[in-house]
Amino acid sequence: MNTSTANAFINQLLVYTLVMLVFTGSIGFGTVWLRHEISLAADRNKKLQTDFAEIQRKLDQFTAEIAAARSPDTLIRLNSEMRLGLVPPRQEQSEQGPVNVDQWLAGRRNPGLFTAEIQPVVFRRGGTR
Amino acid sequence: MSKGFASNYRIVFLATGIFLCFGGVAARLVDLHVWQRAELLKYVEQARRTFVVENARRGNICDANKEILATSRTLIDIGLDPHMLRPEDEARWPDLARLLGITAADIRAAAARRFLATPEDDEREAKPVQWIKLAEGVDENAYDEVKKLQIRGVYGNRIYRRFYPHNSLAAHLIGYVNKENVPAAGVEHYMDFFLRGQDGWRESERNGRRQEQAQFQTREVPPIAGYDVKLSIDMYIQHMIEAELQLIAEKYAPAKATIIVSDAHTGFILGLANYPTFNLNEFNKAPLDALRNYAVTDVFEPGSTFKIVAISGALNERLVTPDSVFDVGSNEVEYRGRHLHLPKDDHPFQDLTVAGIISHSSNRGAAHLAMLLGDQRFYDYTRAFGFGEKTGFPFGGEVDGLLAPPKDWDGLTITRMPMGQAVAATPMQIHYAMATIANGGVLQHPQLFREVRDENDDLVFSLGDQPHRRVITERTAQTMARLLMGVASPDGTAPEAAIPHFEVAGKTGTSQKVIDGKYSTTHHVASFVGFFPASRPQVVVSVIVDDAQMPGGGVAYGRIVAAPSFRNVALRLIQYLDIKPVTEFPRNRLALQGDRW
Repeated sequence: MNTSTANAFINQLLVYTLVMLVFTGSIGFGTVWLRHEISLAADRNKKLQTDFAEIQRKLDQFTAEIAAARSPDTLIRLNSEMRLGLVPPRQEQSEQGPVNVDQWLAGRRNPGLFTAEIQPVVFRRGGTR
Repeated sequence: MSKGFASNYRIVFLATGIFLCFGGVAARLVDLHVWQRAELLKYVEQARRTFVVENARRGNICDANKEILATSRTLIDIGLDPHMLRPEDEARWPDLARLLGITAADIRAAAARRFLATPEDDEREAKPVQWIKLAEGVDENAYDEVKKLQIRGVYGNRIYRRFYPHNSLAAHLIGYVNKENVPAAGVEHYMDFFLRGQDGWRESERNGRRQEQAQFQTREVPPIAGYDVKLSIDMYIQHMIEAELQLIAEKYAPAKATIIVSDAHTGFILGLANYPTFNLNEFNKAPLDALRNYAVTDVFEPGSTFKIVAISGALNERLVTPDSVFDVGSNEVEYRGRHLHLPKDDHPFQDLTVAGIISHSSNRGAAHLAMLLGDQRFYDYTRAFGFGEKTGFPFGGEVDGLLAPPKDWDGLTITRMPMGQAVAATPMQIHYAMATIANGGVLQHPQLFREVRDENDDLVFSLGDQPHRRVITERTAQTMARLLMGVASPDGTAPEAAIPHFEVAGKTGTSQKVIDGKYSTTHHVASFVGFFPASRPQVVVSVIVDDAQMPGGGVAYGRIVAAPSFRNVALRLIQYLDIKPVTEFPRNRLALQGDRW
């Protein structure tokens, strides 16, 4: 390429300008693409947040419904509507005692296992009696 | 190599053109960003900038077993924009009406109302209607169904509302948040600092459709959910005592009634109920009187339950023993050089031991013991038991009660106050005075809060019992507990309260109400305040019934009105809390039959 004449200088200037245009254009397009991607990511984030808030709202709704369903008044009403005939336990139906109830019940069901006298475990060395 | 791909003037012309274009763009940019900057920014700020407040979720109020007593949920107010409706959606209006519990005619009327002005006015001048409410308080499930109909122009606005799943349960303790989301009473008000959380906010931009542009969010502060507050009350005990109050109300139609249950050692309240009560979800429909927590706001003369003060004081000062005998047959006594007329006893007695004075609830005996103590010491013990001062119940407008100092007493006060006249107390004061004996002589503050936890269920802080002061020695308290067992014995004033093998200790009270400045013979406050088992107390129960109407007329004695309810509550507490009998319980044949009953 001729670099000594004015034409050559202008040629170079045009080439550099075109390169510059392509370069800045690429940066421009890149920025637009980047901003678009940021926008999409932000929208996805927002959607997730909205979904999360909706799940939280549903959770609150179910929590409130479960709490209402566990209410003693509701249970009494259901007992009546479903004719279950459930009544609170009476004193006569209870076995009062100072013992551990779990142990006592286990002993009642498994007399041999729980009520027998506990034998201590003895460790013996090999070869000894 | 060529000389160039164009002649000189063309190249210069092209280059000049390109640079002029760039120059033009640059000049415009300078114009927009420098000269018009302020004006444009102002417009952008107004048109695009948006500030969104994100409401924090209010924390739950739970009972001791984490059963939810108050929670927050969203409700939706549904309406329509008449300008956005499409004719093809009209076929779905009946379905919408069914979901919202309104008629299709209501929707048609709302859809026709496009402008705020009357039809005669010029529509161009009238302001357009943007949204007309069709239904309020619709839950999320129903709103999902509405959205499925896909009717354009029908949408809702979400609002946070407080929800009380058990309606009237523990209404006077929980309190409520009003329609403006302002906590107005009870725990809701007192613990609002922990419950309310901290609202968040974000700053961003919106587009021409007023939709938020998520990518332009500049600043964001996320909301912090409120803490959960765990109370000491137990939902089942609370329900138990409210059911008992309902029975009292049906049987005696009292003006009001209160039952309090607390842990004997820690002072934690396990249940507190008042009659009449109200539905927390419809607090605005309740009469103002029903909103009061009578247990701390109303005072009455405690009657014979107050005798524990004089007797405990005399025993604590070692002026008497349980076997000391007093002549209660005489109606006059000399006290500090004056002859005083003693009050009447319901049943005439001649000589009574201290144990007899308490089990027979002798007015004269109590007066003798108070006179032994003297004015000042008796007054000091009364104060020490918590009368005349607030118990420390944290909310509800607690009052001090009425207790005059000895300098303001008339000549008869020393004989009348020991039997619970000339003094006024709240049910809470009477309850904690009895709890002092159950707790080995130490007065406790009422304690209602167990824990505060964050939304991840991590403990923020917990609260223990709050001893106030020692009133009597542990030995005196044990002696008093033993003597109070006599009240619920066959010879006592309230055998109706007895539960075999569980050592019920307590005291009846029947006080006349003051009507028009005189003690009425037809209006009474009946009470039974006690604890069990006496040798190792676990729960303290108070039943106080104001102005019970006896079915056959007659006096509403504490023995008749309150003691049976105490027993009913106690029997259920034994089952629920697995309270062991003190003396050996006979083998229960019915229970031993196992599943055959």
